[in-house]
Amino acid sequence: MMPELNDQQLRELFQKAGHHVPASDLAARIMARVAVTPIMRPKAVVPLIGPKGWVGIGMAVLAILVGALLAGPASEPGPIRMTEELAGWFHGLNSAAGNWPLWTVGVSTLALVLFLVDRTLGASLAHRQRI
Amino acid sequence: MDAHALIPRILAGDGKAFGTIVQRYQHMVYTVCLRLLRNAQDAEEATQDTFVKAYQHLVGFGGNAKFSTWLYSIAYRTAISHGRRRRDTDSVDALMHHPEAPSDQSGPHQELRRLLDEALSHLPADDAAILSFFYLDELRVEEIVTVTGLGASNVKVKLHRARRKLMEELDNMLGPEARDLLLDDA
Repeated sequence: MMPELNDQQLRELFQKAGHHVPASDLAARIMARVAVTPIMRPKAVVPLIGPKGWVGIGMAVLAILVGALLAGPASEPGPIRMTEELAGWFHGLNSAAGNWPLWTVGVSTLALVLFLVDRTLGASLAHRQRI
Repeated sequence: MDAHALIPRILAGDGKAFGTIVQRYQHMVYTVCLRLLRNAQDAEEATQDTFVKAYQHLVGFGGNAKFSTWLYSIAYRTAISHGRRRRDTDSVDALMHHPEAPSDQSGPHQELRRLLDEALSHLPADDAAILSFFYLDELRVEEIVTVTGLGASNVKVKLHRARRKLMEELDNMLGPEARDLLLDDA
């Protein structure tokens, strides 16, 4: 019974045989095709709302919260004087909301969810483009 | 220069840098394609497609893996795809039983290569490619898994089976004395 080729002998056999050699003009043909081929670059993923937008939204929500807090309910005017028109708007808001901390939490949660969805979709798109 | 160092230059528009990569890896890619397609013309087409795809998707090369492994995985998928298209037009039976011999016979060990090619031509094409990855390109099993998309246990089984089959073919072709000479040469 003949001894089998071991791993090292097979490796040497393959190494001696080496790689196959393509036609001498193959590299030139490849480069000719590459010359007219663009590199696919991932499109920059721009969030729908940028950092400045989120700061603006945050400030606006904060201003409404503070305003609603300071305006108080219509029956008990708050500590800060404000124009009747503005106070009326805040009173209306508080009355409509019934419980203003609740709607604040609701609006803030919705904003956070939209923010996360925006970022997740952006990251997913960027990942697909990398692949 | 290392391929990882060439990539930023290519992405910056240096076409010659990609030429360096083509020169360096064309034999490796061509050999993979030839093992899988067993036809020089198809292998050259698949090699061209491999490099064009690699160029197009160069941004997607993360740099965590070896560049050669990434390129091999493109070559493997491209050659498999070419093979499927060819099977749609050719007779499967003809391809199975009359694989075309590779055309190039250059190099100092051309007789050795011819014998090895002849023996490998009796193996399933993907088994021949896996043997080539393991013994010629010295890829580790984990790298072959990355290249082929097969599971690690599947790769190990294929390697074991293909190695046995290759030895049988070499024995059938050469006989004991000639095989000893081949081993001396190797």
